[in-house]
Amino acid sequence: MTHLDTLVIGAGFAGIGMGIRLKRRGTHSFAILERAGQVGGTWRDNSYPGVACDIPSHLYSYSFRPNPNWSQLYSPGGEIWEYLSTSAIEEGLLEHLRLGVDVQSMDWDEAAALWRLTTSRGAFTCRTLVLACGRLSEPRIPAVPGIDDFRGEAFHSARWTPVVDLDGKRVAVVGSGASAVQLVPRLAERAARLVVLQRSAPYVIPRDDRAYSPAERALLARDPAELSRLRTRLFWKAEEAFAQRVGDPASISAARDRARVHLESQVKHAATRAALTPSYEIGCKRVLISSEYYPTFALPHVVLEPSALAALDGDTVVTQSGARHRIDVVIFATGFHTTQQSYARAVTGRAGERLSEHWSSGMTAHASTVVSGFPNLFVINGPNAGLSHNSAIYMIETQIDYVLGALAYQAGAGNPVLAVTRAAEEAYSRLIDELSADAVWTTGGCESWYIDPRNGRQTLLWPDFAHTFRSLNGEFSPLDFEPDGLPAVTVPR
Amino acid sequence: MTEHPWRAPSRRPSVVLVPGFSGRTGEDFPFLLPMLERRHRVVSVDFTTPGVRTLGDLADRIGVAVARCDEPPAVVGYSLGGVAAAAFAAQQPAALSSLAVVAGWMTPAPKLVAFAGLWAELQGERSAVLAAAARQALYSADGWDCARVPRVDDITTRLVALGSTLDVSAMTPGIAAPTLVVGCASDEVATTRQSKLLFGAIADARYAQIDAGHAVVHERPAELLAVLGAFVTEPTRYPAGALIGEDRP
Ligand SMILES: Cc1cc2nc3c(=O)[nH]c(=O)nc-3n(C[C@H](O)[C@H](O)[C@H](O)COP(=O)(O)OP(=O)(O)OC[C@H]3O[C@@H](n4cnc5c(N)ncnc54)[C@H](O)[C@@H]3O)c2cc1C
Repeated sequence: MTHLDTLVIGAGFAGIGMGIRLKRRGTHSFAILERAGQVGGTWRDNSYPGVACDIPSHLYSYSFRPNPNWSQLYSPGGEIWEYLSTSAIEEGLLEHLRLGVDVQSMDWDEAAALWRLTTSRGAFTCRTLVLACGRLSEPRIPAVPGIDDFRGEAFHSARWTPVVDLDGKRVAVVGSGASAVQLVPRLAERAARLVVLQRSAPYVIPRDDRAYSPAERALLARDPAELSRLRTRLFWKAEEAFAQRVGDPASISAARDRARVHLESQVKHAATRAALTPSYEIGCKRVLISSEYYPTFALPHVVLEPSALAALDGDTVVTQSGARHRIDVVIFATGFHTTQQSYARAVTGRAGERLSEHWSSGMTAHASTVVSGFPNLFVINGPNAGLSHNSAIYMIETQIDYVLGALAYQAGAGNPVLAVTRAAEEAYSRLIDELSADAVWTTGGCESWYIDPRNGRQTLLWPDFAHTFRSLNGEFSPLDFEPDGLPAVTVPR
Repeated sequence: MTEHPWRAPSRRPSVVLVPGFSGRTGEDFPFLLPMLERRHRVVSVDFTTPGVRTLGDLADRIGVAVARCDEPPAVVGYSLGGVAAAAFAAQQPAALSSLAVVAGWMTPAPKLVAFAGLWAELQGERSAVLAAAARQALYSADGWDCARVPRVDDITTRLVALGSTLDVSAMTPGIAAPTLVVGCASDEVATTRQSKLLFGAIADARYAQIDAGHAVVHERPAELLAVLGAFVTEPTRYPAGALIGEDRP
């Protein structure tokens, strides 16, 4: 049994960031438990050809670890993974990382005021538990008939299998979301025949990517203020796009026009263009950026099937429209389990309540971070903490600040147990609903992974500007917590 | 510890929005106006009517908008509209709850006078380069990628000429409302120094600076929204005399 003050579950951007900030504060009693053999989360798991970020790298990185050397405006996934690994090493996290530790259960022990964990590598206890398990970390594969008996190779884009030979093969990509638009142009270079199964057409806007010149990189290295200015500028530019999400007609039509002109200039074939035209309002699902995706469909060996996958039949892919294609390799670019997170089933709080039960009608958390009935627990990148228009790292850093604020408060107040009130959590949920009401992902007429099908609530995104998330949630406030949850240990006077 | 303003809807005052040289809020605040309207009742001031000839006329137009609000509103003015808002705040201190002056000035800087002179001369010749020349002056090098061609018409021409005569240096001692002065780091029209002079002169003022040219409303609209949104919901969050640091996202 190992005891530490703080345990962080997951070593992606959130877990590593949390670790760096703890370490820099001079905290020693913490560990990061990660089920995989390496750090990196999303950027370790997604190694498919073409993987890259779609928020500019100088923004999609830690503010407290600026990197003058990003190669591109939108850097490739491998570079981001390396950035994370290097960050962990240089910040001295190796001694705090426990890799290959799959956390199986996390139970709150009320009497001892501790979290008790069982893992694939033994038991742990801690006072403070930080869930940094990600949100796009559980691949979702459609449960269609015949999937287990498929004669060829089949795998998810986030479980890329480099040993599978794609050259000269008949390849099918299921899905047309963010991963597919990056992957499809690369696959077309290798496959003899490529079939793309599209359930609903995405909006795609140009990717104005470019490499940073050696002079630019050297400048950013020599003058850190310049890098900070660049990041600030990129941030506020990205913020402007939020206006499109809340029904500002001028912004929406400008964005829609940009996507339409892009489609029309890149796809000349009328039927293909029609099939690639989205049927819902822009922004309802993630707006994709690619300058290479559309032209792929003009290639003679690439087929667009505007229909969802219905079944796999021996060596054949069958679409709902009845089309059949004989295929050697099926790649599921079908996204992730988002509204129901598997870690929630492993967490048991006060009175034996499971987090998955607490969230049985949709994820909620006060300040997007703390959950009533689950004392001393923090969730990063959980309910309503995502963005569709700006960098996830900004949100993650805001939540890390909140956690650090809570820890500082506890340290100064005789280590009370922190139990957020149900009232605070409910008030926050009402605010989320209010803010979501006029937003396009609830009004835009699409079937979006942002919406929990169990209650129709938008439980994934922060439904406002990123900067308002920080102004609302960046600082811990003890007012939202149960006075009777404190103090667990009486402080002698 | 106070509640965050978002949880106290009472702290969402009406906002009177005052445009700059275009005379129209739709033209000057294509982003700010709809985004402020998500949280506040916004009353637009319009300077396009021909009767607007003096600083007093500008302030009167603001007075009409303020009178349409139930409670004393936040008055937010940009450029010429900011100077007019300052004048209004000095004349009727009790009529507003807070004042924000974005890219405004205390006295017309020589460069503003020269800008107005060039504008009048080119417009007199009906020169096709006026809009391009104005754009050069209004936008910063960093904001050039979002530079719009400014509207050139009789209204703008009249307001630019009027703007270059506006001087509120004698009035600033009468401004009592909590005030936010927003200066722009690369403002070569109103000039950053003039914004800072307003900050110096207005008793209950705090100062924020944005990395943009005079056309901050087009160059950095989201940052401006963040600064203004925070101010109107909690005007005295920063004390008088505070230099509000730039956000470091
Ligand atoms: C292909 C792709 C591209 C993306 N591009 C962008 C982008 O451009 N911009 C943007 O803002 N966002 C992007 N995202 C979203 C991205 O997921 C987040 O930006 C960010 O990487 C999330 O970091 P995280 O640490 O919260 O989660 P993750 O990176 O998912 O890390 C979670 C970690 O927790 C571990 N874990 C989970 N459960 C357990 C357990 N029970 N025990 C032990 N360990 C566990 C996982 O193994 C994983 O390593 C992208 C996502 C994908 C999939």
